[in-house]
This record gives sequence, C-alpha cells and structure tokens, in this order.
Amino acid sequence: MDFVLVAFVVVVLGGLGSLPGAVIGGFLIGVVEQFSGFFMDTSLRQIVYFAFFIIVLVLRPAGLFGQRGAEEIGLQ
Amino acid sequence: MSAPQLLDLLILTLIWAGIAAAWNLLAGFAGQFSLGHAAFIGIGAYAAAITATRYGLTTWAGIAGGLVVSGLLALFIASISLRMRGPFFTLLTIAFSEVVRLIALYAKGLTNGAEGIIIELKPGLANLYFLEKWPFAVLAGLYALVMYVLCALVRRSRLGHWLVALRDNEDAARSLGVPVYRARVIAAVISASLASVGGALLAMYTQYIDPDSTLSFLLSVEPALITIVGGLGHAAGPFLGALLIVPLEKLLRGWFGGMLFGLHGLIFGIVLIVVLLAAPDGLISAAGNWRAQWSRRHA
Repeated sequence: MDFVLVAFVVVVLGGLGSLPGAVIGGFLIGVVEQFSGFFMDTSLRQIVYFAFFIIVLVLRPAGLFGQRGAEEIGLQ
Repeated sequence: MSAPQLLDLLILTLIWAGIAAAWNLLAGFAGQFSLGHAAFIGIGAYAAAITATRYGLTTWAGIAGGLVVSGLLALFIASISLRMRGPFFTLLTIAFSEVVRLIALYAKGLTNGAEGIIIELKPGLANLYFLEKWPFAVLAGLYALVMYVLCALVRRSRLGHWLVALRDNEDAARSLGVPVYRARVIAAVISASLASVGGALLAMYTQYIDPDSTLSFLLSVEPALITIVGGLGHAAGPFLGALLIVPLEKLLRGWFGGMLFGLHGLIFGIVLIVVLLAAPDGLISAAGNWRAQWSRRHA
C-alpha cells in the first residue's frame, strides 16, 4: 500500500502524463522525505511529504509539469 | 449461527450502511469521489473515545465534537479542492486521510499512538457504553434510519437537484444558475460530519480503537465498495450494498479464515466480481431491470 501511494503522489506531483515530471516528482518527494526525517523526526517524514504534496496540488492543481486545466476536466 | 453473532452482523451492517450513505451523499450525488472518509470515521471515533475516557464527559459531547471537527476539516479540504475533479480530487482526499492517520500515530499524548485506546466506562446511555449488544443494535438501527431519511430528503431537496445537475454536467448546471462550488462544499461538509457519527458508533461498539482500525485506507474503500455494489447515487443503494457486503465479508472470514491464508479474501473478491458483472450499475438498478423484465414477461 505504501508504495502504491507514493507512486501516485509522485506522478500527480510531477503532472499526470509527463515523463520528466515523474522523474523530478520522485526526486523531490525522496529528498523532502529524507530531509524532514533528518532535521525533524523520522515519524514525521510521511506527514511532511503529504503536506508538501497537498501544498503543490493547491498551488498548481495539475502538478508541476502537468497540462494546465487537466484537473478541471478530469482525466480523459 | 448463534444469536449474538447474528446481532453482531446486524449492528456492523447497519453502522456501515449509514457510513456508506454519508459517502454516497458526496460521491453518488455530487460526483466527488472521495477515498478519504477514513479520516472522518477516525476523527469521530477518536473524538468520542478521548472525551469519554480522558475527560470524563458524556460520549454525546464527543460525538458532537467529532461532528464539528470533521465538518470543519471537510470545509477546508473542499474549499482548497474546489476546482479539482476526477483522480485529482480522489488523490487529495487520500493524502489528507493519510495525514490524519499519521498525526494520530504521532500525537501519542492525545491518542496513545499505535497502542490505541481501550474504552471502558460506566455502562449507560449517557456514556453510550453497554455490556450487552442489543442497545447498540437499537442505536445502529436509529443511525441507519436517520441516514436513510436524510439521504432521501437531500435527494429531493433543492440541494439534491443541484448536486445531481452538477454531477451530470457542470457547465450546463452553472449556466442554469446552480451555485456549483457552494453546493459541492455543503455536500462535503454534510457527508463528513455524518460519517464521523458512524465512526463514533463503531468505536463505542468495538470498545477499542487504534489508528489501524479506525483510520486505515481500507476504511475509506469500504463505504465506496458498499455504495458501488448497492447503487451509486441512489438513496437506498448503500443500504442494499451493506446488506450484501458486510455479512459476506465477516462470514467468509469466519468460515474460511482458518483454512488457507487469504482464501476468504479470494472468495470475497470473486463474489464481488461476479456481482458487479451481473449488476454493473449496482443492485438497485439491476433489481429495477429484473422487475421490468419479469412484468413484461407476465403481462
């Protein structure tokens, strides 16, 4: 379950359908998770990357490299 | 099967029917497919358990508190995800419910972390704590009944028509003056608060809660499963679905759980696939079709 969820988060963060987005999204999530584990608390790691994911999704609903407006049509 | 087991099945079926009906308000009527309702179930459960065991208040205060907190959280989630549809909204709800679960695990001072809370109170209606099963059956029945009446009322109300209109065609609904965002937020808040009441009942019935039993992702899937099997978007759908799904799940676990590891899950999955192939729009629509065919044949 954990891996499925992380994979979803990474792909949506990068932008659904965007290959460079997936790579960069995976990199970002990994770095955020490890840094927050190191500087804050290891049990807070997942909370931080989910919070990061939510913030990105609010600011750029289609993901970092996603097609603008995809979030409004739904995925076709 | 003995009487207590039967009562146990009845109670769980009724509570899950109510929770699924709450989920149906958002997903079936408004078309916002949430997979984060575990957050609201868990908030209701923890609110009831914490106020009752830690602060010695009546459980009803906890239920009311959980209802308000869930409603506020849903207000927040719905207002930041106003423009999202389809998988984007679903993912956001999953992320939120995971955050709530992780916070429950982390805030040990409040929730006891992974150890969970054992609910032990003075029996009575004020604490919602009973040593027998039948008072829970009455409460669960009341909850399910109230949920059904509410869903039927909402479906017929102006809000219900707004929701169905914006689910079917948002642009058309907006052009006819439906306040799309407001209707969606209201549906999310109602759905979340009602689900949290079900979560509180579940906690008081099992008398023990921990993050895995009240906040896991599986609890978000359960109401979706029940509603889709029963009939998405029909007021009676979740009730029919719960009548099939909940007893089936528990009985299969009881019959095959001890045999081969995972056998009960396999059989459950096969039954689900067969049911959904036979009734792709849910049991309610299928029942309607079968009745139409039958009356045509006997006309």
